[in-house]
Amino acid sequence: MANPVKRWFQSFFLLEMLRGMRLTGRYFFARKFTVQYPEETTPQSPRFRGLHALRRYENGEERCIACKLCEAVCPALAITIESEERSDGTRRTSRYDIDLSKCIFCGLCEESCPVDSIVESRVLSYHAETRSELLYDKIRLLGNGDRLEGELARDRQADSSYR
Amino acid sequence: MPEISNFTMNFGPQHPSAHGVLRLVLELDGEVIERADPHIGLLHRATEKLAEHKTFLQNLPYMDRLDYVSMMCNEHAYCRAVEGLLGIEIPQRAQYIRTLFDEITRVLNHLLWLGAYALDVGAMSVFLYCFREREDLMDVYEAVSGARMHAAYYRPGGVYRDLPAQMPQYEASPYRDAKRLEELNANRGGSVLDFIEDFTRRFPGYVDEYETLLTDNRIWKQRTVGIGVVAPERAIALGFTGPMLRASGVAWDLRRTQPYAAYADLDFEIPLGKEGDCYDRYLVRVAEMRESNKIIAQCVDWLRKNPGPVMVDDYKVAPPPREEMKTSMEALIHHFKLFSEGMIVPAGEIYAAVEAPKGEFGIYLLSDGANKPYRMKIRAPGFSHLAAMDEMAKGHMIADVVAILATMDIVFGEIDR
Amino acid sequence: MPRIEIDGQEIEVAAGTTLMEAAEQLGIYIPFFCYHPKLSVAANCRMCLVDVEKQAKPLPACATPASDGMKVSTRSKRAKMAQQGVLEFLLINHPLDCPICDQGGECPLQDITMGYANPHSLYTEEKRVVEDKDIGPLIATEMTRCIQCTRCVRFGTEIGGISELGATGRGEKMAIGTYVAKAVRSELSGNMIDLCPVGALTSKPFRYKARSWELKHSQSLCPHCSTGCNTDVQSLGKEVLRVKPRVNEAVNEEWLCDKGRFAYAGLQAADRVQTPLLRINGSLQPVSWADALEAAATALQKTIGRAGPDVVAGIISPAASNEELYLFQALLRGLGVRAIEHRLRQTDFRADPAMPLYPALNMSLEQLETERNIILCHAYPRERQPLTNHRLRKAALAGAQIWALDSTEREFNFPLRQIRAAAGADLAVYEELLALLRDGTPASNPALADLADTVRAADKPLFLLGSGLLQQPRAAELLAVIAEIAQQTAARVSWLAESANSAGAWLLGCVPGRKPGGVQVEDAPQIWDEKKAFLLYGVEPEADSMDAPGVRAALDAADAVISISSFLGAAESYADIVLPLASWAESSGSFFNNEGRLQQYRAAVRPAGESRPGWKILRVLADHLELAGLDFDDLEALQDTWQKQLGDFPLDVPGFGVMPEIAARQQEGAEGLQLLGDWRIYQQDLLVRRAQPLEQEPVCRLHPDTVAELGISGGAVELLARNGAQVQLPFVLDAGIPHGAVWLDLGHPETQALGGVGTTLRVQMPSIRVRA
Repeated sequence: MANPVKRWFQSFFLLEMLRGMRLTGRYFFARKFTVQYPEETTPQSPRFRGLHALRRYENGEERCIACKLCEAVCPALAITIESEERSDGTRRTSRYDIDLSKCIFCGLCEESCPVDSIVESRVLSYHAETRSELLYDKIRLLGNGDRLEGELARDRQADSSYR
Repeated sequence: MPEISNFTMNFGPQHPSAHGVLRLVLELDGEVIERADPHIGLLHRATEKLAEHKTFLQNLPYMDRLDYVSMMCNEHAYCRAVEGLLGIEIPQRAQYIRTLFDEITRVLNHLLWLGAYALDVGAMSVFLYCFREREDLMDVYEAVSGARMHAAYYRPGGVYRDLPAQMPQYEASPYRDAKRLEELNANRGGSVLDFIEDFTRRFPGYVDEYETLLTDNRIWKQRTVGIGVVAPERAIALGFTGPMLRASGVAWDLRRTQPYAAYADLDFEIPLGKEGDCYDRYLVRVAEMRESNKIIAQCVDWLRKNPGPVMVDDYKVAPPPREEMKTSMEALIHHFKLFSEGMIVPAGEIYAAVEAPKGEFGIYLLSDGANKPYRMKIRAPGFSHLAAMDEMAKGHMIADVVAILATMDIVFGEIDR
Repeated sequence: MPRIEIDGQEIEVAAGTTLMEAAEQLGIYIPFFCYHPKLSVAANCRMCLVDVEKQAKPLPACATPASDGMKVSTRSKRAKMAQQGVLEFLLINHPLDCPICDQGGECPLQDITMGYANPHSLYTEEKRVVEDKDIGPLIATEMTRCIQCTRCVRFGTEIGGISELGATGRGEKMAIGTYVAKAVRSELSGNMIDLCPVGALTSKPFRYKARSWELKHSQSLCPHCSTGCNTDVQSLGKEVLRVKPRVNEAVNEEWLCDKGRFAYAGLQAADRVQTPLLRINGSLQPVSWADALEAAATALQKTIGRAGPDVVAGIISPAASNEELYLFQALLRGLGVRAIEHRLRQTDFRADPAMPLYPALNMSLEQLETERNIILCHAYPRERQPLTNHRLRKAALAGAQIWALDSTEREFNFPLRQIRAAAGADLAVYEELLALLRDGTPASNPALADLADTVRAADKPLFLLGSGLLQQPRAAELLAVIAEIAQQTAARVSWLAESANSAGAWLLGCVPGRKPGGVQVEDAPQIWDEKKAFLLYGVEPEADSMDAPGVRAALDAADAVISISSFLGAAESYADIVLPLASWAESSGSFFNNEGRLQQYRAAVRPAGESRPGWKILRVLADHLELAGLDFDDLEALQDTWQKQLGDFPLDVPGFGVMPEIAARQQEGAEGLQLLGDWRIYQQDLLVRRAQPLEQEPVCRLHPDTVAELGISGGAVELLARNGAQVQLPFVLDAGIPHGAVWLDLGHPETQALGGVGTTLRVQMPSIRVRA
């Protein structure tokens, strides 16, 4: 830029502008990198932390034993558990609520769970029309687990060596 | 004679260029700024007070939500504070992973800043290109932590999990044929490190593109050169840090002056400005992206060669591996206590800072020997930068306020905290 | 005085002090499981091993006496290795139960593991499994978790006075169990739950209900006896989930009896009154507070307007707080009512003028331990005041001579001599003792002669009068004799007050003829005679009166019965207005315990349903009755007022006042067997008898000879009262019951109809009933 002649030349012929337009023009004709959501999604990691689910064992027994570690560790106090002795003498929850409007999706509940019961799935597109619908109770969480079990098990398996 | 009085105008809190929820009260003499008075606090969430009621682990996810454009750097400062109180050394590999992600975060932050700045000043395309690159880095974030933004990846004692050996891939869709899918997944065939390495090879070219669009552009220069000039001594006096300080020509970077993580072993330059105006701040940040790219490449190289643990082998701090937790009584008890009561941090106080993309982000922690901080104080770089608004904007036009505000790289998560 | 050094700090300690105690004095913590300051030293967990200089091996701090010049280190390499080694061994056989174990979160094993263990286990083999035992409805066992510290065993033998739990086997085979497979039957058994450092013994009613960190703690008092144990009521949301003792060395040390520990279960009873109820068209209907209070005020005013205040009687529970007691009597006295009473179980009030200011122990509970000669007069503190009993037990073990005079022999848990009266002849025993002491006439009973010798030889023996005495049909005569004995022998007389705030009820004027401060005012009318309206406060007269059938008839015949109560019970049939009362856990207040110690308690949870704290109900009722001076806005103002009215009073009120002339009452015609009985430990008050885990089936007890005489076989008898009531009950053979008497567990719905002590019953084989 030291040369004033060169600078006048560049300035007068809008050279730097034209260089910029060449770049944008090239992209105008290039293939777009947009993703057609929702038919198409971006890559998702097996570690993804989305909608919660409560899992069951293969024999259909719910995994959760009401140890309340997730409730204790939840920084946002989004989990509410009530526990009791079930008729067969085992320790079970009588209530397991996750308030998704409080949840910050930090994943500590899944980390704390000693029986891999509460997990965060890949589901990111859940929605609700009222706030109360964002309160997931035990039945809905178990339902999530039943629906997603294959994927949940695969993802946990894929990441097992790092856990 | 008609009475002439200054006109007072509210800039924000709903102004799109207010970068969040800033309410700027401008006192105008015609179109010239007489006084700029930033009002903050609209995003105050009492993080510091909240921290006094949460265990040391529970506080970590809240760090992501301070400067929500440079998540992992905030975590880094917090983890370093806790580790300092605990007096533990974390594994070398964890240090390198943290360095790697600090720099990825820096690139993420600067890309967002650049895109938004260009948009504020009137250039549309840069924003789109910046977000394209951000997408790749977001994928890296997600691959390691499971979240694109609020990662909660760094933990006191190391990092959450090691880098995965498989980069997540695009799946087939009706919108792309097999060939196109293969192209998309071309750099996702290997590990996360492979993908990052590929990115570091591509990235300098992208930065060239941004520069092609902006650096010499006469409109860009007209909007930025000579705007919001801060002299070096004023920058120091105002408590500037990071690119804001370095653009004024003061060579101060914690990565160099107080090396932490793996920075002491890495080769990189500290770009400096001369004039201290908006244009120099732009140049410094662009140059920093190039330097970050160099650091990322070095970290990738090191991490490839040096496998090892990424978390301290001390169950009093870090929970045991799941396999062991399910078979060993000792491990189960430690797991149970860590997730219910949390780790016990010895009494003491510490200030730990990192060179976050915006400047010096520091955490002051006071522990009374319990499982929760007795007091936590956050040193947010943006706070002192915003405080200089009046000085920087005085005498400029209204339109320049936007340029000055954007050049500060304001994020209200950390300022209001 | 040995001088030792622990972790570099020097200390001089008394000879015989253990290293553990010395470290505690220095504020140095040494981890332990089996050590407990109130139990003997077992030194079998080895957790407290410390490194002592010039010793070949680490030594257990709890069992090593300090000797001069010892240099102890608790954090040296050797000490740490010992701690880590011990913990590793303890954890080898510990099951991976933390997530499902109720102890998780308040578990010393967890805490000490976090603090001292090497986090990496080397053990990979199988863990041992121990079979569980069912030891009753209160304690859940999970014996695999046991680390054999034997605290529970030592507690049983040393504190509880029962050797039911014991360790069998050696080494890895060692297991804790009951020697005979039977339920643990100690009134202090719940303390084993607190003592167990792991989750082997946990509370059954609390099982899986909550984690320790979720619970809200409230400082409270136990409302079930006059000891005044300090408790920590732990709640989650609106529900009280458990009650634990608070440490107060002067009162309950760190123990709590099962009554106080588990009675909270009754708070959720099905007959809990949730809303005000009003009798409309013959049945109780829920109404608003305003309507119910208005109805109550109108009923009282109408009755008084028609027939004067003497046809109204007020009965309040002796477990009500001072504030409630004061307001209750102030409200009734404001209306001119004189029949105010809290003693439902007493029938003979002729000695009232001579009664002291309040039923006082006349000493601190700690002093009770140091007494040398104690004569228990119709007192069974083991069931009535379990932790006062614990003090007596300590006195007995320290060598005190204890005697018990009673209608029957009881199961005391310390060495003593019991003298049993013949059926229905309780007075005769005391009269004979008096005669022995006065004249030295030869005794019919050699034990009584021994007692007389003891009383004569002793320096100021202590006569402890129990509630059994006041329950006697000729209580006044008995008291007169005892007063005479005390006069003759320089013996001291103290009382074991019946209920949590019996002292307060006396002090604050809830007895006929006495105003707050014990000011005697007037002759008061009898409580049950010709009454048209009753104001009941927290009582179940039908269950707590000696003459339950008579009381029931009086209530049924009354024009208006207003019941302020937490529980409906039989009030469903006789009450006209029921006002829901907040329970003790739901309101704040204060009690005077047996020593005269004033203690405060705080509400733990919100009142159930629409119920309100008692003082607020009484205050608003007073408002409706247009009584001035009772409109207190807060508890503090109310407390100030009653304290001012009460003034300073002496804590020690030994002896009796001037005994009035008391004529001998005629014994009823002795047809059939003399009825003896008492309210058992878990029938003491409304709350306890509703606590499901504490449920006790009523039985009757008969002397084997009586059974043989009557020719009864099988497991049950039919009891026929003279009023025609007929009840079938299982019976137990008990040689402690006098010949010719039948013992009945009073207060149960089954036994209420039979009447109380003093009447007679016919006992026969159950007649075979043909079901339609």
